[in-house]
Amino acid sequence: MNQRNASRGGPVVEVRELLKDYVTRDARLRQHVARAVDGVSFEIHAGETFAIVGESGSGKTTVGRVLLKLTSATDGTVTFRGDEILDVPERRFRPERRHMQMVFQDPLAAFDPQTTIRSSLREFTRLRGSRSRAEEDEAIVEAVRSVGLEPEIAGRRPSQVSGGQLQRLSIARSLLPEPSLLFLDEPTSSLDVSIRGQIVNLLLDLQESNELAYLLVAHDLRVVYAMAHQVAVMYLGQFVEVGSRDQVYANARHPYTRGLLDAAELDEPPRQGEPVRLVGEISEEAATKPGCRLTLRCPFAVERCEEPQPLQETTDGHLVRCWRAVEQPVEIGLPPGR
Amino acid sequence: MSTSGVDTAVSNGTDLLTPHDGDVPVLDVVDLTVGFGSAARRRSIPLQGIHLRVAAGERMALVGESGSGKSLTAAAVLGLLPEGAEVIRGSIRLDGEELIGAPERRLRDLRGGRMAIMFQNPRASLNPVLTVGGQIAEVIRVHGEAGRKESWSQAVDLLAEMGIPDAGRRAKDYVHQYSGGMAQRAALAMALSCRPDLLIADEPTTGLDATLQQQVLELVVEQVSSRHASLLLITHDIAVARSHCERTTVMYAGRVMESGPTASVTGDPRNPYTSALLKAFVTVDQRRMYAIGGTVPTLIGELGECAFADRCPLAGPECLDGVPELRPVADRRVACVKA
Repeated sequence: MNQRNASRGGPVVEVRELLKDYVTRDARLRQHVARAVDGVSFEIHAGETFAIVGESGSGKTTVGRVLLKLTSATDGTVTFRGDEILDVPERRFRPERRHMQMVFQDPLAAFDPQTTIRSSLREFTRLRGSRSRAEEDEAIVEAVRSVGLEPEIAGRRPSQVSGGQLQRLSIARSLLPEPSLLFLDEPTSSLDVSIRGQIVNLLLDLQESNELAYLLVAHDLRVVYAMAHQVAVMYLGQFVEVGSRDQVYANARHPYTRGLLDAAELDEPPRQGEPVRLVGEISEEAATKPGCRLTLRCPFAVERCEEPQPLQETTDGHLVRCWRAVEQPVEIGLPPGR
Repeated sequence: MSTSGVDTAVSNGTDLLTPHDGDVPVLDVVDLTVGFGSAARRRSIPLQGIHLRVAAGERMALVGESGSGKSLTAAAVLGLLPEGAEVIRGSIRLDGEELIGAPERRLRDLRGGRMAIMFQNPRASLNPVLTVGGQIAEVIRVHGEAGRKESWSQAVDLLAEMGIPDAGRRAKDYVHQYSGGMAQRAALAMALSCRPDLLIADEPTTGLDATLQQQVLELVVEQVSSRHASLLLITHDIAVARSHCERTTVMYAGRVMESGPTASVTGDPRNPYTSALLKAFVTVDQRRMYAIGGTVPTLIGELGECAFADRCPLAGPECLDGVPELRPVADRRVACVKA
């Protein structure tokens, strides 16, 4: 433990070449393999947010689930606080689990409806080790206060508080075991617009005061812009663009990223170049293609796009999986490299 | 917009709502108030004096958060209020015809005739055990003179117009064989199959990804415009209203907060709630989001004050002195004493 704390300069979590296949069988018992995550690599440092954006079916939530060992990986490595964890059997991994927690999209589904919020929270205080009941109560009061609520609310059941309050309590609960990594899976999408900002700001404050690493998966590009340090854009199992938040938002190069940003109608930050319109919808059939998987939807697709497209660096740490975005950004209305 | 309110019909400023004086609006909702429970035991009043006017060929957005009453307003227009809800007062006119108190048979003719609806979940508006083409053809047959063969080919044409590739073949599929975007296109074909004057689209793209949302909304706008129909687009996203509708009505806690041309409502909002919604939706700061404190009110009773007062940054003592009237301000109507 102390040893690990000493290695604090390194990333909290490091993911290399992650693969995840889902195998199904049809009525004739023929095997079908769907590759949900196809060679994804990234790392997250303490106090930083790594966000994955993309449409439904891109595989972004699967990345988080594999990382938390909620489902097995097909191949690749995940190093958490200095140790490889994918091969560690569940029983031995249990004590480590408290260091990685999750905040779910729907807080009402994340709480036991039959019991009070306090008893839900109490279970999580025990993950830190055995303590007296008085100490547990104290930890619960402190946790509820830390998310801006009065401790009395913990006596209620999940159905007796508002969605925004329950999401606050869900965040309080996830922090009770003192984790170093939080997986935020669409943390605001079940909330009303006027409440979304409260939750985002709360998460930002807690990240700052607790040096938390966040893995954020979200549709809402406004939320991602407010929270992320690094952003990965995912399409059919692959990262197609990775960079700092400003690289991805203000200087997006991949046509898919540009299409997403265009559709999100953000006022800020101002984007450069012509808007890009994607046609059609995400289709799993394209996930087995050797070349670019976006060709059927991309307005710039040509024959060369059917060749394998590696994730290539354009400028400092800004990676793009599109030959055109790397070689001729001017032709697709992009400004020449900075 | 003038003075003392001699005539009660104009005293609340409804004349300001229509851009084409003299024309009968397609939809004219006046002072619509809906409550749950009986008069003796009123549980809540989720709609409190709604005014909403949609002119011929106009696209109106009805914007609000959950519990604002936007979907209930649509349900009232369609004559589909849920069990236990009743109209306390007010009027709903479709092409000049009063719908409140109209016999159910008449309402059924109007639904799917002069007015049609598109829901958030397209699979909810299409029958899962009939082919997509078959059920659209049936609507065409029931509401028109076309025979079996003619109605089928009209259904296929309509699906093709909605951008469904290989429509002749896809018309024979069932809705579960359609992707989310395709199903919403089919639901639009279904809604437009009987040539309505008014299309009500209730959060038609909320479950869809932003890229698809854009495609579907553009299709809705294009199809409604080319048919000279009116659109009532119900959405929680004021950015959607901004890009797709000429006029916008913002609702909060069962009341209209602001209503007028979209460009003015979203460009220069006069109600602090409208400003707050806009900030929450379209601005993002450096590592901070605009947040409105407090919570969205749920069960709404008879209020003696502005419903937004407890969350409003501009609220003062005058905001607690009665419910603000929806009154003319510049080119729109606003329910705020500070406007």
